[in-house]
Amino acid sequence: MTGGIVVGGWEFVWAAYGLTFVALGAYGASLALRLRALGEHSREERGAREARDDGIGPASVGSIPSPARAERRSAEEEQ
Amino acid sequence: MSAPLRARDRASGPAEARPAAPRGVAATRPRGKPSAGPAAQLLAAFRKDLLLSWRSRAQAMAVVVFGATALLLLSFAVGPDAASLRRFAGGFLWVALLFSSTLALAESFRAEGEQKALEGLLLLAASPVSLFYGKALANWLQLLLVGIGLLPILVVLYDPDLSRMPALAGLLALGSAALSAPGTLYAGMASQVRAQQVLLPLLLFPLVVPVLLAAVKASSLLLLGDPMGQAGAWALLLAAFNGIYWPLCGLLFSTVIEE
Amino acid sequence: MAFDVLPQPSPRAPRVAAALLAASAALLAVGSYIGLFVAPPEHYMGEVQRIMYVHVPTAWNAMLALTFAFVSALFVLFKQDWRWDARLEAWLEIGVILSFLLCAQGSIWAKPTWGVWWDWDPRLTTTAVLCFAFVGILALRRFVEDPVKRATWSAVATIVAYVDVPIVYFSVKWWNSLHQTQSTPQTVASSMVTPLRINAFGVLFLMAGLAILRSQLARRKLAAELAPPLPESNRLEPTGGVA
Repeated sequence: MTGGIVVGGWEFVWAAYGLTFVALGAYGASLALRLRALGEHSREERGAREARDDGIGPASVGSIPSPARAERRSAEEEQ
Repeated sequence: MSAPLRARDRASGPAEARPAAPRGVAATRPRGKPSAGPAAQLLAAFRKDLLLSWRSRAQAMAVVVFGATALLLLSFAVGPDAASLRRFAGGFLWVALLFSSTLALAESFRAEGEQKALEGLLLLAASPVSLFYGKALANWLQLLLVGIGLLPILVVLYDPDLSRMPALAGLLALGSAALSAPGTLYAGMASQVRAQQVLLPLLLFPLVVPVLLAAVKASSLLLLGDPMGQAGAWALLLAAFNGIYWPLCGLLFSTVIEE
Repeated sequence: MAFDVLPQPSPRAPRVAAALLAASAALLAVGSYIGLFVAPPEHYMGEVQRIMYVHVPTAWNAMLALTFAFVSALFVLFKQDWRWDARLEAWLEIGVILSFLLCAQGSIWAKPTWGVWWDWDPRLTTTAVLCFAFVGILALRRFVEDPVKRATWSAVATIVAYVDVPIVYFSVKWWNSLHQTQSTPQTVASSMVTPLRINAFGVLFLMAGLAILRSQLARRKLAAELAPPLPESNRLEPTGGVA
């Protein structure tokens, strides 16, 4: 065969497909994780607010230990 | 302090002792006419911005010096080869003008931003559209002057064909207009946030790629020879860009500065 | 007043998104398998041509994403509804990602074909300019703190940038036509259309699913920003319950 024909090049094909699917997959995974974290935080908040409104004495103060709450709050700040 | 005033009031008759406000209002408004029409507002805005530029003309001079420095640095990037320098003269002129434009455009909103004058103008029932076009026209003039100010440096450093300078000035007019319309819109946004120096070029530069391409191509053809007469077609592209963006940016400006 | 309804997350959305993503995974698996192993290699370009089966679908969907961003921007300005701002944010981000991938794929294709990483092809160069333009708009959204300004300004910038797309394409094509003869192939043989179409729908569903998720995320962030949750102040109150 004369010149002008590209020989081989499978590594470029894998690179193109790999980059595309890995990038899109990573993006999708990050979205799912961030949504789950935000969903958890708002659910926990709603729970804490309901407990407060019910007027349950000890539950209205520090029902959820503060280190966990601080941890969840910092996770939400990272979004 | 108040005693002599009261004496004056007592001296004048009851017919003249009316409160000052109605007289003042009647004096400022032409009788029977509503507030000034859009054309008059535009002219007023244009005059205001020209006046502001004139008052800070030291800054305007500094912008020209900045552009000249950019031209010098670009020539260092190429080296002292006269032939290459002549080839790139058109390109470098427009890159230097583009860089200078970010300074000039940001400057045009600085005075209003510092003095919170923009809200005041809007409260006086000035239409944002007229404000935009007045400012954009003033910016156009300023960019054109910067470009013309760069021409002597261009001549000295890059040794272009002198007979083409008038045509190049015409291209500068078209190109600076194309930079001014979206530039004024984006400068209006950038002036209201903290990261303004970065935001204006970040938004403006990708947008004006066609302007850069067309202006550089046309300038190079003018300076180096145009056997197929294509420079006119590139100038037409510049005119088309102007034709699209001057109306569009004017329409959108009101959403950018309302509170 | 405009922008007055707080955006609520939609309960059905995650399920719809999951369905779309599952469908897209299946389509892309099938399409890529056919493209990589079943379709014949092209005469001149050999195996490298198989990149087209992921490059062309990415190209179509990148333009589609940016078009959806443009439509969302128009709705933001006319309807002044937070949900459209959330959609705008989603389509801007997805459009940027797809445009960037397009440029990367084009680069990977160009190196074995033309020997250079960038061949100034008009469509790819336009995509690169677009990528920069829309990244700038994403940066604008980061720098503006007032949500209403962020929504209207990014909508304005999206409209301005989208109108520029044909102008950029035309000017780059013309600018390049004087020098360049090569360009990416336009005609596709019939045996190659099938994997192309399958992958095109695959990326379309993928994009739609991602956009739904991203828009839901944007809605929640907006809601938290516009009506921040009450601070937990009970630690200072006496433990006797409500007064």
